[in-house]
Amino acid sequence: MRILYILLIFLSATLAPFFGAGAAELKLEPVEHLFDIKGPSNSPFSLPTDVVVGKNQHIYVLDGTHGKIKVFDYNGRFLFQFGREGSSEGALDTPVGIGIDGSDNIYVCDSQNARIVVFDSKGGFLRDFDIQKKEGMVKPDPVDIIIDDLKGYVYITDNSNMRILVYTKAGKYVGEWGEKGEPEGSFRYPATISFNPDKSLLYVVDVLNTRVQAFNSDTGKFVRQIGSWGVLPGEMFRPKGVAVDKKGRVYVTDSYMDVIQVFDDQADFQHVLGNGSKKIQRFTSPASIFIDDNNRLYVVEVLENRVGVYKLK
Amino acid sequence: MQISKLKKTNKVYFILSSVLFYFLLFTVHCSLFTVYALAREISSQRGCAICHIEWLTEFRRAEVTPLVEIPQTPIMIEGRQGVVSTERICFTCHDGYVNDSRFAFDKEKHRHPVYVKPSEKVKIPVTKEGKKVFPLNIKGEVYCGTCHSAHGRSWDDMGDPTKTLFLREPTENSAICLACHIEKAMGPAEGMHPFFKVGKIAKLPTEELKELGARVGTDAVQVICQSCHRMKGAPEKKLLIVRNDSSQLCGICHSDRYAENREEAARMGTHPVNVASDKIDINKKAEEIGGRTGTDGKIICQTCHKPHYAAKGRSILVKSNIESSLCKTCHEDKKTVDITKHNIGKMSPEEKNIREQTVSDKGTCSACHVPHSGKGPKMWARNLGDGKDLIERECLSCHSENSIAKKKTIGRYSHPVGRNIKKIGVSIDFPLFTEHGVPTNKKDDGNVVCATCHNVHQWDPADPAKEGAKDEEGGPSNSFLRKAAGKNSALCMECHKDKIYITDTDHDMMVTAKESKNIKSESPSESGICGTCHLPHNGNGPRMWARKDIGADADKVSGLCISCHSNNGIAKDKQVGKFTHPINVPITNIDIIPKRDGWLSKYLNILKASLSQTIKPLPLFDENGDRAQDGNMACPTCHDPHKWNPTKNEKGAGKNIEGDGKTSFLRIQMSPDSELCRNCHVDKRPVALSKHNLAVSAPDDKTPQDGRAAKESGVCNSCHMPHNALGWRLWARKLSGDSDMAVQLCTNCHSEKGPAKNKIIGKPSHPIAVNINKKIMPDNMLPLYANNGLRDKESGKIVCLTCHDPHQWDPDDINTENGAKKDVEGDATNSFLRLAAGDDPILCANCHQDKKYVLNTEHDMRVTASNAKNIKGEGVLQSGLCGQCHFVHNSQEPLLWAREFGPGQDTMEKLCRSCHSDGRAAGNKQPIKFSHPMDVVIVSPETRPTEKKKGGYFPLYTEDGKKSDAGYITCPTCHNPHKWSAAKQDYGPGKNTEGSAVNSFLRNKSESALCTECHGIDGLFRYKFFHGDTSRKPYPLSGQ
Repeated sequence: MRILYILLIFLSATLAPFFGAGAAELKLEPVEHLFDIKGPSNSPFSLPTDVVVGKNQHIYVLDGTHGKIKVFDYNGRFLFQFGREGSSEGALDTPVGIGIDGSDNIYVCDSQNARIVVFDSKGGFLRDFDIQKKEGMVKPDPVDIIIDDLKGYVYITDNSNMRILVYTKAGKYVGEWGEKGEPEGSFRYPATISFNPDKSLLYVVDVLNTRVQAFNSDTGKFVRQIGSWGVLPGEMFRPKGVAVDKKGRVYVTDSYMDVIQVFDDQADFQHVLGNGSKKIQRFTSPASIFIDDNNRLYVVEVLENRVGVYKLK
Repeated sequence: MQISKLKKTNKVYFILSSVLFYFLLFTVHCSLFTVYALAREISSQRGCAICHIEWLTEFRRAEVTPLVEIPQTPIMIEGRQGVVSTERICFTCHDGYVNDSRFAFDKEKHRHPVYVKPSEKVKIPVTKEGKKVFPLNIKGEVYCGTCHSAHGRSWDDMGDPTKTLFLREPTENSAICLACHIEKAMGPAEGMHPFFKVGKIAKLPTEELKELGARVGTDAVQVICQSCHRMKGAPEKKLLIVRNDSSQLCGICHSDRYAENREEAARMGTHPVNVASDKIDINKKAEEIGGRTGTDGKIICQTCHKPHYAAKGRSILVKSNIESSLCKTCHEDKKTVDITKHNIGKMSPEEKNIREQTVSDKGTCSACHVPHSGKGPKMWARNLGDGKDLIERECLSCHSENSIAKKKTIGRYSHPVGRNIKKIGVSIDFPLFTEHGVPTNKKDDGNVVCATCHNVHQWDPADPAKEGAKDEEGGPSNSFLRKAAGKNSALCMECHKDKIYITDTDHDMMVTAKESKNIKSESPSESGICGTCHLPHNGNGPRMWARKDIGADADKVSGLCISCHSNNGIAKDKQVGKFTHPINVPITNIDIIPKRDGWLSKYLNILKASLSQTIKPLPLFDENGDRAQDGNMACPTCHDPHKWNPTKNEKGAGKNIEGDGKTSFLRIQMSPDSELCRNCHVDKRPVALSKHNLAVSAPDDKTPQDGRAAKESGVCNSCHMPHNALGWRLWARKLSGDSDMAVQLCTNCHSEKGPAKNKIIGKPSHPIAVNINKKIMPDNMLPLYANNGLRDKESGKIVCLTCHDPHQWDPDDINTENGAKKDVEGDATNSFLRLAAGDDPILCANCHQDKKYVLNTEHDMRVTASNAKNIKGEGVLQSGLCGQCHFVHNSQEPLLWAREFGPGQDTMEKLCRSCHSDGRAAGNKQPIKFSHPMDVVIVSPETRPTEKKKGGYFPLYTEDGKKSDAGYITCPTCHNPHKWSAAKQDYGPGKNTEGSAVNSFLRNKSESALCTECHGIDGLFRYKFFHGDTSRKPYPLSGQ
């Protein structure tokens, strides 16, 4: 009987759409486009993937295929760049994500070199540390990193071994969780990560499971899931970037649908970012996003080779 | 959570659905809905729709609004592109967050063309059923799905799944490429770059290729499409893994042919690339043959080669090279070689190059050049001959004894090659080369090699159409020379510009020996001015000597001079004589250190300004006759045979004239100040400041050489002449006739009729021509001389020059001018002495080392009689310590005595009592009875030598003061006046002391030895009788 009941529930859910069920209402909240950053004129971006903003109000954009971090002032004017391609000390090989700590030090996920490289805010090399792998694992592929200065920890997504790693800022291994799979706490390609305002939760974009998972940042224990498979409001097809505003609202980019959806801190869909014409604000293959202390939203539009800067309400 | 929300918000629908389900469950459509419902299970749906987004049913539901619109493209229709294979879908995973293929989407890079229709060259294979293995899109264009499909082949079939993900065919060994581009793998026979070959020519650097994202074949290091091309993310056009506008890509594998510059190309023996030409418009030439050029019109690999669609069967050349036609496209100026003897096909048609190719196989150029892997510079196609210079070795590969041009060898003595033109400091219009055989393209820097004088591609410099027939003997006007030699030797003069001044001098045979012949029996007018003495090849000796009868006794270079300047030579009237300046001796003999940047002499640092002129380096020669920095002197050290007057750059007078010290082919003038002599003999320069400068002491004395007064002929020439001198030391003055050569020189002037008649040595004088006693003077510093006048350290004898240096007045002051006065009187401290003989008589002590302990004894007049004077009235400061008792010249017998004799019964006693007598310097040192009884004559030849060995030697003397074994006992029998204590090898105490039986200048070493030698033990009492305090006269030292 229990089996039958479950079957009923399941079938009901699957059949429901045929009767107009399951779709969240499309709500829009406009954002104000401030400006775009496309890189210096003599060296425009080539498939940039990440952006962070420091307390110094410098905007750091990872132009990974060039192995460079390009730095701009708060108005988007190019200041300088650092980084070089390679595998020697301080060099980078197709990095994907960057993080920034309270001292504006830049942490780069040096993907093909399977390590984290740390620079100071002016681009001076500070240190690096390798990402460890356990027996049976393939070469680690660090994709994104976020720093909790209070704990002194950094959280790293390892895209090739489907796990979240925790290291100290100095590079000492602390712990990890996650495995390949679809259940809660498992991943199919964990990508970008973000904290909630008090850093008690760590949001992890789980790309091919088309969701964002929230974990207790102290224990790694699964807390809740945001989003589900689909193309309707509140659903995700290729989630890539995640950021949290001061109110704890979670912003998630979808790199195929070219939208940013917003969920509340309980994972309920809130709205899609729109434009002044009350239409969906389209982004071109948006990947990583960042929200700064002034409620500015920075969107890396990879195929457009730009970072869009918006003002959130 | 979203699911639970759905459950919450759709509760009504849930109930209705459940009812509907039960209704339908029992209908005929039951099974259909069951299957459909399962298909909607999220995970399964996501498995396909994760790429096939268009399959999501939401797009076909009217009541919902998807966040994105999906075009309604055909689904599952063969050959039609769906959304699934659009780049946007691919990039949603390949953006680095699932798989990192950003390189493939980087717009700055290159990838296999998409959305273009395949060209006619592309042959897309079809299946048995006629379906294209690689589908095109609806427009017939290539798209992502043309090559990629998640469903095409199982990964098990594809080899390494990490390399063939979602491809329709494996990429290994370029299988997927060849499926469409098979003709590009047909190899050089079809004009294509070799494919799947193991590097016979190229060495595939697998690691480097891997770093660049390239690949090689699977079973071996074989070249495949991906060795050069990348389908995606290629940094360069044509999908190349690296730029190739400078043939960088070619150079990765063909590194042995990819030289960075001409130098390296020469070392590799390959044609240079990435070089421009100022002679050839490479752009134009490349256009002619269908090749390409690099930046700035430089030649690159692709100028001659094409990797695809090149000339068939021609090593992927852009054009066939039959009869070297490709080579001659650029090297047009070399075509003239075809008609010359250097066309090997003409001379030796069967001759093969290092690739076993004949000229008829590969063209004229191939005989000597191969485009790659040559044996030397210029891509040499033959095995190198022996030689020092690379270009020379290339020429000698034929022009050697065992090679095809053995009739045209160059001989042992040939023009030097491999030497930088800088050495002679000229600028020429002929090509010069680096040590690697590359033209320097400079006029004044680079090595002279065979090709400097020879243009090997043209027989006659004046006419490129001249053939140079097989049996034609070359001459100075053709012979592949760059310029005809001619009567004036214009070819030689191109470099040897400074030799032009030989013209019309005595060394111009057309002036002095018109009928003479060189070894090739050529007269001067036939051989040209240079050819009379030099042949560029097959010379008779060093300097490519062209004349016979080279002097065998001289060094290699001076011997050349002798071939004319000898009894049978054409310059027999100009010989050097028996006494001539030495040759074949090192310049270091006169304390000159020849350095690369100049000659040094220790004297330059101590000579005063008027004497310290810089030494002009002169040429020195090694044993082979070549110039050498540390070589020996030879005739050309002082003479420049090509220039009559060293101070004038002018040709000769056109007739034979008599030379003098200002001409005579000297490198430095000898007149009026003996500049040439003084240049090298730096240590002799001080003679100018002495009386031996006859301009000072005898200014009107006639110099024998030219009869000029000494004041006009130069300081050296007064006494010396470099050739045909009258005696040893190149003596220029009449010799005295003395048996000893060394003495003859001095007594020529220091004689009754000589200019130094006031300075003759008189008799008795210090003995000369005597051997020294090496036992008592082991550390002799003074020169000794043999009878022939040469220095002989081992068995030489004492002569005037042993003690005197005629070129320096004061041994302790090389710069003094005190001796430069006609009437100046010398003393023991100067007088041209080699060492001072003053109060520290090191000159005398050098030889008389057994006498040196007289210093500071009571016999040192400075101690006991400082005001004493010898018979010339000299105090000790003038006479020197020894000179108070001995004169070296103009003295008295015996012992060159310098004091007034005292009383005594024999000569030796008289000597001693010159001082030890009343009123003399040692008047208070007189025994009451001086003389040992005269009637005691000791004859003890058997016993005394025994005592001598024991140290108890007591010499006996004849009455006239000569030592004798049968003589009298006199003062020196018991006393050694030069040594205070026989037991000590020491100087005196420096003050007047009272002696005892063991010192007091006695020869005995013990108290008992002296008298007991003859008198037995009672001799002691006799001693006391003669020498006790009561036996002396109580005279105090007079100080006189």
